[in-house]
Amino acid sequence: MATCELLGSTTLDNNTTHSVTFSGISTSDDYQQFEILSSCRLYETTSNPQGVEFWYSVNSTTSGYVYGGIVSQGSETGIASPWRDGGTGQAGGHTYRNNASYWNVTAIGGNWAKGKAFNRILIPQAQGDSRRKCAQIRMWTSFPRNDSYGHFSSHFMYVGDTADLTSITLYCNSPSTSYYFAEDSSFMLYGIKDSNA
Amino acid sequence: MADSAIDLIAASNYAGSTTSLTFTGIPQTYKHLKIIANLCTDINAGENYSSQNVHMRLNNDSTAGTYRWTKLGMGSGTYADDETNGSYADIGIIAGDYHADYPHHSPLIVTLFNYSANEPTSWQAQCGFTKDDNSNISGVYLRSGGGVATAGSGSDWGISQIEIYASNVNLTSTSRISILGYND
Repeated sequence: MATCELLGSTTLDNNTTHSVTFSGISTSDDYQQFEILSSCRLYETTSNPQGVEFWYSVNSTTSGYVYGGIVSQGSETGIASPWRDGGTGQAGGHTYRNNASYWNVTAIGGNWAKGKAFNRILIPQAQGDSRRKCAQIRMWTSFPRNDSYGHFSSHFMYVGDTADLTSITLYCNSPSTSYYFAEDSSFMLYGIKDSNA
Repeated sequence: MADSAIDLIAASNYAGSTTSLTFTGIPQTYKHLKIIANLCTDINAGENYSSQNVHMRLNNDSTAGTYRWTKLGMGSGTYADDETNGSYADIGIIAGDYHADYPHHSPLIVTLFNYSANEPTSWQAQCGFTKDDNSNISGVYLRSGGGVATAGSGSDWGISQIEIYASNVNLTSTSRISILGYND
């Protein structure tokens, strides 16, 4: 009996991967919720720490994503800015607003020596009944070459796509860019069922 | 039928009117851990704090600089803070015993990434509680944050011991922690 199944797992052995896709997700296994756990870093070739956004898409859908949340940057103590995107004004005033057509889950990156970026995505009821997909996102990242910098975000997102969820793609920055996940970055997809069968 | 992707590694209650609970001998055979806790305030402890932070210590390591974290919070207002030279991990907020009418429960969920790997261990945490006491210190408190722990000068470690503790507030014997292991 398994109510939670590991549907996919990838750990990179190179510095040249721009995106990771979990495809062929079954639509007949009564999955009530999907959980994605990612631990990743940006492959960097310069001495300057930087972060890039972490994007993802579902079912190869490239438009109609709406997102909002709250974000902090540790070096700027006191900031706890709400922000949103999707047709209305920004609620908070934070630069992470982005008119993206993919879900934007903020920065990844940092030096391998001390840290990575860590992302958890929960997508409930993504199959059946023609529901649009919503997700809860949390991400934390650090930039060890500047230890005063930490970044945490908690988001909610949805996309109008109502087809059963069958694929998820995780991108290092936006799809059209040339940023790459670093070696040892890992990504896992779990399916949580609605029964004990 | 597939094997379960998540297993229960350990679960235990606090001894009662104590601040700390430690798990040892955590196996290194999983990829990630999830800690699910329900922490309940002992209202008779007499510490007289409205709320207190919850801390986590890994492998009994209290060396300054081992832990770095950032957090977002909401109580009477919103706030953000960080620590770049921590001797513990700040993972949540729970109700204190100050003017508490009844034992307040504070749920806490922590995800530990790559806990068994030869690399730094990072976490995400969410915690909160509602308080309705007899001195108008009431409302909803939420905390989200994350951090990274690195032994020494970036040396490798796997996490085999986890301590969850609070200062200036005791926890009742109904306080319970479960640790789940995620297979990869």
